Amino acid sequence: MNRLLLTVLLLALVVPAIHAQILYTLSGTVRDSASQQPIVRAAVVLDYEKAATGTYTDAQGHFSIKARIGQHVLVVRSLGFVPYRTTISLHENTVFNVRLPSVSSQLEEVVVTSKGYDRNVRQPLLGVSQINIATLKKMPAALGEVDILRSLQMLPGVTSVGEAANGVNIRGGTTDQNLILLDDTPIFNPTHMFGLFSVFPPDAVSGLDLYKGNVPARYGGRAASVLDISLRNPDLNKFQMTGGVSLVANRLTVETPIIKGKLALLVSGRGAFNDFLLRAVSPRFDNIRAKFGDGTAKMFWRVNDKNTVTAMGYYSQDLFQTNLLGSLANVNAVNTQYAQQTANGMVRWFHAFNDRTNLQTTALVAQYIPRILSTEDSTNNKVVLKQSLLQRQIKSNLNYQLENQKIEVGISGTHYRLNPGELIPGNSLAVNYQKTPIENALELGIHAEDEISLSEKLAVSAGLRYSHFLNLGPSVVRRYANGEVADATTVVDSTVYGAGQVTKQYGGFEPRLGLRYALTPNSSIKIGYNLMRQYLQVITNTTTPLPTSRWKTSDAHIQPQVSQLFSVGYFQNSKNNIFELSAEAYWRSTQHILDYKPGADFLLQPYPETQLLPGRSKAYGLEVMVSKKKGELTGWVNYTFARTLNQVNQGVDFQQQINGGDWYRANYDRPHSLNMSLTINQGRHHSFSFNFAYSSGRPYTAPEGFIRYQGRTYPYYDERNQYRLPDYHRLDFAWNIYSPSMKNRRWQGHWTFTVYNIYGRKNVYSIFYRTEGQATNPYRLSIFGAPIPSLTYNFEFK
Amino acid sequence: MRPLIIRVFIFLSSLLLITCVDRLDINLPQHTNIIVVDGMISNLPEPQIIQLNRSQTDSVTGRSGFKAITKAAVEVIVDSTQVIACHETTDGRYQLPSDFRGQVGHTYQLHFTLSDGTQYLSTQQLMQPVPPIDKVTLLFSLTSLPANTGVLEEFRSGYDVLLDVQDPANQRNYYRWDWSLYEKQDWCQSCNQGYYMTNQLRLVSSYPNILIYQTQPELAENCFDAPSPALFGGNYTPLPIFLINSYVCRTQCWDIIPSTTISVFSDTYSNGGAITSRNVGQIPYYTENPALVEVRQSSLTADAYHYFSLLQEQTQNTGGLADGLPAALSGNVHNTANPQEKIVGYFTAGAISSVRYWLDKKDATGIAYGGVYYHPGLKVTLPVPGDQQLFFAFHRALPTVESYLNFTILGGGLRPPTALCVPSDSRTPNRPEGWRD
Repeated sequence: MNRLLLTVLLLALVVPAIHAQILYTLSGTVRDSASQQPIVRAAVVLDYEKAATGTYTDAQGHFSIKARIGQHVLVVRSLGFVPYRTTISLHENTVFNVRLPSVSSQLEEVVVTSKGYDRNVRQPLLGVSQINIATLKKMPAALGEVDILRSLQMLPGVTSVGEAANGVNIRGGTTDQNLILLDDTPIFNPTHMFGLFSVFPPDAVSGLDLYKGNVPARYGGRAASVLDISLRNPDLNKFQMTGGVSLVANRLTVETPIIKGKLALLVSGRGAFNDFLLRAVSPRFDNIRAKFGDGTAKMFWRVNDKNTVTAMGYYSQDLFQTNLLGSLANVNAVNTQYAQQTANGMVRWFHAFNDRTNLQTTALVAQYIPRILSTEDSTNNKVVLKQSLLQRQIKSNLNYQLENQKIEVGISGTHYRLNPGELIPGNSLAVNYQKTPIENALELGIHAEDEISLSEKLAVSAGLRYSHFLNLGPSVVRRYANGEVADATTVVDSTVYGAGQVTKQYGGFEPRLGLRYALTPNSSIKIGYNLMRQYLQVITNTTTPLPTSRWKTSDAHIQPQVSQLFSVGYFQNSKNNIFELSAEAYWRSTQHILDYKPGADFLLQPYPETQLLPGRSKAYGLEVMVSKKKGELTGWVNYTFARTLNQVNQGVDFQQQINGGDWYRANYDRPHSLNMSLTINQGRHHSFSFNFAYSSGRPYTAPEGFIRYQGRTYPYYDERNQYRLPDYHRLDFAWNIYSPSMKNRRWQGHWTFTVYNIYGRKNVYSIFYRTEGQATNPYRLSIFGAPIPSLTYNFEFK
Repeated sequence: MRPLIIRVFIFLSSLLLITCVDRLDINLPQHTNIIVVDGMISNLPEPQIIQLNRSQTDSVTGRSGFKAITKAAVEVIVDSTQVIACHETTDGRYQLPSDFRGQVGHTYQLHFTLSDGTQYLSTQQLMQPVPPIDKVTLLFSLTSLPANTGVLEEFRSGYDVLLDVQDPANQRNYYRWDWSLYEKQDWCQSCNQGYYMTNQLRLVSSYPNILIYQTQPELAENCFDAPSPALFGGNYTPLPIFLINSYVCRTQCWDIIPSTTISVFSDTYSNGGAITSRNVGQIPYYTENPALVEVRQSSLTADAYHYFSLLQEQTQNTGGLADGLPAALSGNVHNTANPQEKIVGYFTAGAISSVRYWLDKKDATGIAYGGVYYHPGLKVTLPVPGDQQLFFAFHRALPTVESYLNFTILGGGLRPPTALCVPSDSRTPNRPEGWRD
């Protein structure tokens, strides 16, 4: 009893001391910020991190909560509204009213946006993704560089052969079957440093459209897809500067009005010259030199209310030297460098006849020059193997907008001038000047398209393009014996064509059709059909095309690739467009794809047809994606099943077949992939992003066995792509730290901390066999074999 | 617009761009059964040899095995008319008559018939002339051997073989370069769980648990397996598990170490040019002892060049971005009845010019691959004596001299005996031309 008494006494002494702290009342009303209607049963929580106390609002939206004096963290949440967070300091009874903005009135955070809130369901086009550059900037990026191509691979149907892939594979297409346009100018090599970074300046890009299903008739020239990246127009009224510093590259974008309201200029540059850091990290990188830079300038001139003129220039340069790349065979050199440059320019005149009719005329030039530089030992002289590709194009589009339809007609003419290879000896004593014949070609196109709503439920997009291709002389065209392997021994005769003479022409219609049928206001079914013709392609025998891989126009022996795509999809949006579901299935068939003979060599080869085998390709797949587009948590999850198979069967000889003429897996055939991209916007201070990517390993060719030859063991290869690399998966994380207190300052900065490949999986890029001494050993190569943290500082100056 | 003063503080977090290459331990199912033809007719006065083997996967273990093809009728057809038969010297090794050698400007074609009657024929190979080697330089480098190749673990010191040749302008030339390293070998035989015997032995007594052998007049010159424990009855003292006895050579002896990489070149881009300082191979710095290097330059036909350059590309690749995808190589030998059968290897003819280079190794720095030995007991590294360095380089263990026999031998002289230097592709008792003492 005594003990109990003692306890009570002690409590009596202590408890009043606790109660001595005064409790104040925090009360208020929670309302919808737009309608001013009270929000019922909104959760009001104080200090959720410590001793969370909380309540709900009543029918009138009122709440009342007691708390001690001092600082408190207040969070107000209600389903369908953006949560509200603040810190309040409580010194007396306080009334605190909260207005929550509705989630549905928020701007969308994620993919598939612009024109119309429910475009997903309403537009009669399938397989169109529009990516908001703001979304991309929040996504975790390898080495802190915002990378469009890498981010695109988080979308269904977009894959690549691995982390160092020089381009992406879209719905079973090769990398060169994607038409990549940067403000209408074609990009022939989309990556820096052999696929580690993409070439598009993130600060200058305003958005991008990816057409992997229905491709509008105005686009032509590639067989699989179109990636249309547009650069931002400079602000006509306000100076502003943005930039960033990361471990890999530094960038700066300046936009300034020249004549306020009339003429403005945007200049954006990025450079990576930090390769000395690599050498500092490990002596293994001693021999690596990696520098790249790209710059963009865009001018926008509003001539008057009816006319605008836009001019754009883009330049990019790369220099790369590494042991991972082979040297130029038969040039006696001690080291090899790869250098490439892109120089594109474009002028566009936009004229509005009236509110409904406008005409856009664009003239552009794009030049791509890759070079391999081999340094000779004795003289330090560089022997240069150079390729150059020049594309000049002029096109004009007339758009006519009606109440329920949109009509577009246009013409285009493109000239290609291709120097497939030139060996420039410099002052070498050994090497002789060599040259392969220049290729000249003309591609003409005319198109018409009508997008029309036939009824509430039915909408159609019908387009037709006709393209005509002319391969022009001067050239020598060989004729090979019928049914024989095309090589030097089977030449029957050859024809000499003079300058400007047509050596071969191809042409054909390219129908494009999209159909949408609305099941309910929030769901629809779409079907699509596409035919596309491609007259310019990369020929290569490497896993991923090198920047120096040879481009080739269609000619008497190499027929244009023709691809047909059938697709069908189901689309559904949730009531307030917060969630979006899409499921698309496709089937694609391509004629005249190019594969190579075993041991093909395209370098300085005047007759590449002797090294090539035409074949066909089929691809099919199913893509399912769910995205949450608004709210604190945004992002998407998608699953793709996709197959790509090729067949080459040109004759009975085993040199004319691949895998005995059977269907075989394409290099990028990866049946299953699952991607998840999530962003958590924690108020104005932080955002966290996670990316998770999984896909089946790509096929590779392993030896069938080993042979003993000349005292050594060699692998014996036969079937192509009969094995798969281990599955690929990776998790990335990004933390964006903003400081809203600086909101009103002219200078604003924010930090991005990213970790690429958090759990450090050694994803296998390739498995290969090397004969060492007398034995042959298997090896695997991982590109990013460890977690890669990086920190980027971004700033904006207005 | 006010002038901008931009001060950006850069905090560079740790960057670990880890591109790594790992040795893999995979065992994919193999299924090959393929004939491998290896033959080159040269213009040198030395044995002209054609080797035939079958690379076959064992159906039980799934591992590759190589079996010599014996009892084949092998012949070389010169200029489509003259047929010269080969005789089998050892299993799968067919030699042309000893006075036969190839001549520039003549064509050679291989024809052989297996014991089951299947016939094979190669394409015709025209022996091309080869220019002389102008100069060979062997340059020591601490990083000569490529990194991470696993040949000699992480050891990289070696000699770069640099070669100069003036390419003739009037013709298309295809080259192949090989080197052979002659190193003096003092240890001619090692016997695992056994002892070297010059003569054959006969068991004369095993009682009481003491084995006695009598030396016979017939020569053995080989290892004699330690007698099985069963012979000893119950009184057997086990031998050490790692009992390897090594025996010094009776005569002078040289090991011939061949090049391990394929080095080919075409003058496609440099016809008539001077090929200077062409790195045609790397010779590991095995020992500190002087050695002799023979560098050979062979002419190849265009097709043979193409074959070897592809073989090189496929087997010496870096796994990376620019490697061509591996594909089946087609050799120039075909089954006359079944053109679908794939046959590996190439039969070719080539003229050879060679240079012998005395490698005194005076310019070498650092430690030779066989130069130091880590003593696990004393935990120190000790220098390896010169006469043991080549042995140590190949076996990564010092030679242990026979010290104890658990049986008795009658006759046969003092033990341990010396071992015979048995000539083979990789060893010769004949003093190589150009060797200096």
